[in-house]
Amino acid sequence: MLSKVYSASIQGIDAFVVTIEVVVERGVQFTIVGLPDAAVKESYQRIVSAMKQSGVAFPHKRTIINLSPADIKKEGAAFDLPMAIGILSSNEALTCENLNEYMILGELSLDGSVLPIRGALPVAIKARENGFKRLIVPKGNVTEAAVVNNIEVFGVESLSEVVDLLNGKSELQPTVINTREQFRIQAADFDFDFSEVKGQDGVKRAFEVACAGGHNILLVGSPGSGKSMMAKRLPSILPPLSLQEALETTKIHSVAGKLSRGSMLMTQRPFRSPHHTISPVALVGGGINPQPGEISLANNGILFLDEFPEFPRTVLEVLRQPIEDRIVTVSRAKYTVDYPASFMLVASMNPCPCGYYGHPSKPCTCMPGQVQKYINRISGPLLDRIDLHIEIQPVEFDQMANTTPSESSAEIRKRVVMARSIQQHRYAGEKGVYCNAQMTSRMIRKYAWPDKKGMERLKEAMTRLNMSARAFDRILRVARTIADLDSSETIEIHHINEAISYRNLDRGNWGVVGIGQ
Amino acid sequence: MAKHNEWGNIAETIAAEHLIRQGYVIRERNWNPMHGHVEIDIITQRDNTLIFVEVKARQDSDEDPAEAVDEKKIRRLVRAAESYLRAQEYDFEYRFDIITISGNPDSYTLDHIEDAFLPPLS
Repeated sequence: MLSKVYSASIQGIDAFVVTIEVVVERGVQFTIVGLPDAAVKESYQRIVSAMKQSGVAFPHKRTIINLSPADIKKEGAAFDLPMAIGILSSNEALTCENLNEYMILGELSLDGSVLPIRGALPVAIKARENGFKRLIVPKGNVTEAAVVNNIEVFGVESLSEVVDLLNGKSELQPTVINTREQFRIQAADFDFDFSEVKGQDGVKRAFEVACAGGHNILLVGSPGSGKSMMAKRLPSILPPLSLQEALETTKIHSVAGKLSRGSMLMTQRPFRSPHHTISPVALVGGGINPQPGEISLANNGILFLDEFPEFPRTVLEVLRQPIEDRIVTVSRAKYTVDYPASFMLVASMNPCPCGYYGHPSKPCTCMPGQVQKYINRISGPLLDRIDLHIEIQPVEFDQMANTTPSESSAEIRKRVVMARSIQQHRYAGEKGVYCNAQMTSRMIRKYAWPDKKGMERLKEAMTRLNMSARAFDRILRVARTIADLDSSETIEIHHINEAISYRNLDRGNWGVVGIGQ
Repeated sequence: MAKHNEWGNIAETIAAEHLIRQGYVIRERNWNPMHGHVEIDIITQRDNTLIFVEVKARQDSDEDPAEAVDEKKIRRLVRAAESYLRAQEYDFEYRFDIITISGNPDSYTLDHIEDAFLPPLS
């Protein structure tokens, strides 16, 4: 008898429906067709053992399993459970009449328990889209899948539980989560806060500007000056995730299997800080079975690259295209997948190999030329994509011992949100542009052109500081953000002044006269 | 006939007698499909299951006779069983058993491994 069970697989960050057809008939052999990969083929052993342990009979008959659509490679162990159900149904061991209303996923263990899978959230989205009434997923993924409403999501722990459920002998209730409520409760909960940071007002201001305009930022400072410590607090001043953004970010983490058991929607912007030994593929995504990389995991959040010049050149250069396009396309001969990669890049570095170039008290022991060489490890085109370069000096003792709390993240965030809403309004008519950092040259002329006085100031500064041409657009973009934070329609001269101060590395004399001189 | 073949035939008879004592119905012995390279030692039936039995005899009891059934042998047995099952009128289930007999005709040990292996994924 032929039976059909519906399941799903992941391509990119979206799921597609996989129909599992099972025929059990006279004969001996056991066959799986429809482009299964090794993990799917191995399911045979798991299914046999799981059935034995669960006390249901594995039919000793010729069994043919087809995974349709037959032209896409099926991977992973998530088909174990639906295949087992298909075999039982085909062998008339199930009395369920409405199997076609279910979508089923789960990996089986030898003892018949159901193990968590990757990508439960996109699967749930797809199941609802295709009009399935019920979704059966492993218990470990149920909260993640239950984020999707209008579909009954059952979390199961064992094969026998599923058999009982489908035979109508189970009391198991679908899991229901009030997504909006959960979202509201968790969104304001941060581990780190800027009120814990003493001093460093200039840096905090630069962070505020960066977050307000979505600008990439490079921090330059000696060891112990607080680069990483401050960067960790950035998510707390970024505008809160919208439900749509949260869903997209959670989807990526779900596909990558990075969601912890029992987690629901991600309510905070991700903060990813890969080590500098990372490979290009791990950073941007890819692999034989494509998986999202760190930049996609940082989607709608922050990608923090500590010790920026220590990253191999090949790794850094692959960043260039995703920074511009906010998407990574992984191409394979048969298909391409797109991973969103809309992140804010925060990089930090020491000013020189020894780390103390420009330090107020410690002398730099680097040879002449080494400082310049260190900076040059970061290519011009990449530096070009970073709007703000700022220096961090260590906090002096008096400030460190000061016990009055600094301004809290919530206060800073309010201003950031306000500036972002101005931008949202301004770019309502521009497709794919949401913040100042994404402005094209044409849009800079339209929205961020300073008055005559401002332009003169800019010209003077660029000549005096020997700035390169690429700095021009960057300064205007940042100036636009500073003006937005000021709720100013026009760009004033002091906005330009502040923006210029964030371009230290563009100065022709960097590495010759030192920081802060 | 070589000595070990004699022992092999005796062992198959011992195995068949054992199966009958256990309540199995012997359907075939030394069943050899037309073009097959393989012979199924014993085909028996219990309820709606056909059991294909491979008998392994060894004189040296140190060696585990069950290990002599390798993947190649399994594939051949499965192919033969497939053609036998398909020729039946009724939808039987299958089972592959191994019976190992070690020792000599006067003193031996018999081990019956039920459901010894499943057909490999094809």
